[in-house]
Amino acid sequence: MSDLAHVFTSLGALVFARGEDGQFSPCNAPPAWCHELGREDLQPGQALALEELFPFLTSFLPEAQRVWSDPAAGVLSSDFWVETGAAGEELHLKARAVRSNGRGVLVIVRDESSYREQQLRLQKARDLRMTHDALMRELERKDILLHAIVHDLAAPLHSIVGSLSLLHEAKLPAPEARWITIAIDAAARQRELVDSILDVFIADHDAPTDTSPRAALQRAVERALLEREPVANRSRVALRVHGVAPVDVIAEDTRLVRVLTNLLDNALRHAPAGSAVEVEITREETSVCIAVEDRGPGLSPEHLPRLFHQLSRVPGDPTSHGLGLYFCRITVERWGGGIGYEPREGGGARFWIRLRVAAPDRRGEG
Amino acid sequence: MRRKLKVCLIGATGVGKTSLVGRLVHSVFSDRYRTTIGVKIETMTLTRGDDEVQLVIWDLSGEDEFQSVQPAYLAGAAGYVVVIDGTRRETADTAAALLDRMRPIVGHVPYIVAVNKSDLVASWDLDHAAIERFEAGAAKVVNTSARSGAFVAEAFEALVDAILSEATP
Repeated sequence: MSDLAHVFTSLGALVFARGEDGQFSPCNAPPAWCHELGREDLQPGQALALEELFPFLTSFLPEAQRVWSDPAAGVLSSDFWVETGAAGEELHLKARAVRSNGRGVLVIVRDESSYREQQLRLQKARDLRMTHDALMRELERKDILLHAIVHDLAAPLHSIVGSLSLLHEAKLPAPEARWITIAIDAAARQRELVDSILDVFIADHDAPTDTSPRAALQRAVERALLEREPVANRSRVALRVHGVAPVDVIAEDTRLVRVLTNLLDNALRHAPAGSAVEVEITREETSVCIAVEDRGPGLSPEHLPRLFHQLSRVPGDPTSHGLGLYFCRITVERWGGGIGYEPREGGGARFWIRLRVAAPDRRGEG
Repeated sequence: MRRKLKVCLIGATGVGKTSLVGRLVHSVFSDRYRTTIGVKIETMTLTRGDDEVQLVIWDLSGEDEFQSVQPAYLAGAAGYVVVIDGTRRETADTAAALLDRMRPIVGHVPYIVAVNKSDLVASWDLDHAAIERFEAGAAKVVNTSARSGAFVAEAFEALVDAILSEATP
């Protein structure tokens, strides 16, 4: 055996030369790992069916053929493949095809360190992905449980509000009437919270039932304003609308009203008595922007990055539960729209949503 | 008659392909997850009636965003096992996508679907519809557990039987 063949063997490489007949024969004595695989009886110069010896090569040799037939081709490396030795240990092998002096040469090496390094990197990435997926599944399960609990809490609450309202209408003496009013307010706040949680759950988990929703924007704005008029009157805040929007937008009617009432509620909570909450509707080329503005304190810049995230409370607002703006964002984004905040010129807050204008309604034509 | 058959295992990452082969060939199971890179090749002999079948099992690395199954590895396979993790429903989608991608390459050879980790049935995350879609095309859909060994040998035997019955004129 030549010195070079000894070098190959001691480096752990098994080198095969490809004959003109396409047969392969070893160029060197088998390195130690061949013994572990029970393939120590390979004789240099002996013609072999390589695919029988290393089944993995059935997928590599057709590609290697291209390297061997092209004088300009470089080196082609295979993926790793793993075989199990006689003692049960894993051997990580790799093949390389090169062309040398016009002949095809195939080199097989055992490369444990590269394999381990690659495996460690890949495993870390996959472990993280699986942990992430498991956490997401767990969160989903908890969300569903929470939804079930909140849903069950809502049913008796409706009875409580109903019964208190009946008592309120019964013209009780002053102290009792005041307690009933307090109880009704508390129950109403509770119901608002329950509705918000259920809204968020539905927006997070339910697939949209209507694949091409459309809503009449003007009607939705009017409904939202009408619903919040009593609150505005109690707070002595005026509600004003600027601009008209006789267009259909891509949105679901009921949820659009919920989005608008959420924005109005925020504004009404912060607007000082005697001021006005203004709804400004601006038609753009393919969309409509609806801004809700108040003259409250506005928001400080440090609160803005998480403003539309779940459970991000509006600072300085003890009644904020961190669900309303999150619900608005995921709902509007589901329709392909957007939501944002900016300080209002002259002081105050300006929340806006942008909705896509729906294509002209052709239903009923033709 | 003595035959040699190449069979491949495909599926998403971490569904238990290597564990199924470990259980079948070496009767061992380890809780430690070690990702497969490239291909792991094992051989074993099965007796089916008068046939002695040498299985050359190609356990292919899992399909995910970090690594994808090389279609060339399935060339020449007499059949294959598509593995799903019963506790992760997204692995059924990966299996369906792999089947769509691999069928034009491997041709109409028999395959079975192994819904693995049946020992964790309390955490099962698959409904009937997720599995039903495989029933028409697969030679068999088997619930397996590499951990307990339940129906692992039966799954491979079912695949070999399907291959042999297709090969019989």
